[in-house]
Amino acid sequence: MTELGREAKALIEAASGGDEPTDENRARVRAAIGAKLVAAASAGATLASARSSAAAGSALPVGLKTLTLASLTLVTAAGVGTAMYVRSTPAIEAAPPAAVRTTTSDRAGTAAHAPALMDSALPEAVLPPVEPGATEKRRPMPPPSAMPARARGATASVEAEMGLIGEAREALRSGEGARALLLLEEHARRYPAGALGEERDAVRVASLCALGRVAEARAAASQFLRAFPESPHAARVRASCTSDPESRF
Amino acid sequence: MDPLRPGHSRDVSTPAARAPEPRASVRAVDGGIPSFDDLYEQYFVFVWRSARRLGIVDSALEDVAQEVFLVVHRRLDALERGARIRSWLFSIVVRVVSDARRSLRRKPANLGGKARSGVDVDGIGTSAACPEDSLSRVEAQRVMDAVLDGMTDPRRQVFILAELEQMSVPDIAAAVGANVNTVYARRRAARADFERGVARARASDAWRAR
Repeated sequence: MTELGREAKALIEAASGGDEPTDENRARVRAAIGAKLVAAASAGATLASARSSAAAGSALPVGLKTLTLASLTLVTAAGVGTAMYVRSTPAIEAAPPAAVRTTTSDRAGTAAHAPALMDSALPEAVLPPVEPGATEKRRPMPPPSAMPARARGATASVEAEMGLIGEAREALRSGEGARALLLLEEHARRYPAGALGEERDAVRVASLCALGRVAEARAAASQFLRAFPESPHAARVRASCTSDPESRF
Repeated sequence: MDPLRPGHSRDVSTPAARAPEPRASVRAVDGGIPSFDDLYEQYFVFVWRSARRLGIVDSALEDVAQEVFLVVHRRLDALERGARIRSWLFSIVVRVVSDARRSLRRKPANLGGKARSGVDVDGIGTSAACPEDSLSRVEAQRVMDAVLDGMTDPRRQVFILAELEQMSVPDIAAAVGANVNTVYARRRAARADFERGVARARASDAWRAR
């Protein structure tokens, strides 16, 4: 096997340790994460309790315990048959609102970068890679009215996505597999590049299983595992009816 | 309550939850699933430097690290006992960096000319006197950035993990979602790329060992 040459190794050695964070970096990021989790907790609680459209803007930070409760509520709502799957994903849906960006705003030294970061970087891509305007065009599911500013658009989209996926799960739990599929298709239409595509496709496999459409489920599962080989849902998809008719989702 | 401490159960005892997934190299101290706090404390530096090595500009590293750990928090329940934690974390970093890259990544490298980050590679090495056959860390870092920026993403990822993090090939395979043969091939190609980049930097007198 070819090893690196002396010069390359010398460069690596010389650069060693040159790209590490300071204690301040560590502390600021941690504080920002804490703030976001609190905000996410309120969004999650809102979704779990009613998916009422007004919630995202008005909910107070309630701490992570509420996030946990929200997750449990989602599990309960999804029912025993889907509990394992939902348990693995609870907080994915409770995506942190993009609005709380304390890291940048707290930093005097890099404050000049804040607008660019807020406007284009993470909201655009990292959180929900959702097409801007999609929610407005197509009657977003839960809370369009509560999302006035562009800065909240990302959060609104994710919550709308969460609403659709959550409804699909509920339909699945209620034995309405066909309705679940319709909701998932609606999600796919509205959010072709949405943040929860992975979750949608996983639930779709379960829905097809529930309808006894095993061949389609198998194809969907295969497609899912190709697209998301590292997905936390992969194990569940593998264990679905596509491999074992008795297995639950 | 500390919002960084998820309170929900991490029981992974169900059969489906035990289904094998390609993860695991750094086990939690007690052999179980590490807490978010533990992950943050132990791997913040790893996440940070990985994001930086993948091309994130310094001014955006805090935001990217924050996003990575938010994803970690959301996904922690899916982490399995004995998981390859660094592989798992790196895969998250790659995803976040990939999504964020346009605005937050350094500009493409052009060794021998201007480096992406506004660093004039030709100017590197002309300032401080270096110890014999070595570079100052800052200079070395700049050259390193430029060389890494010139690599394709797949090779760069493998190079970072193999050469800079000393990770095993199976762990790298888990991190980048490729099979081990692919990782071997990428590592070989990445080493050649890196050597070329270093040689170009040197040839252009971007930096020199005295």
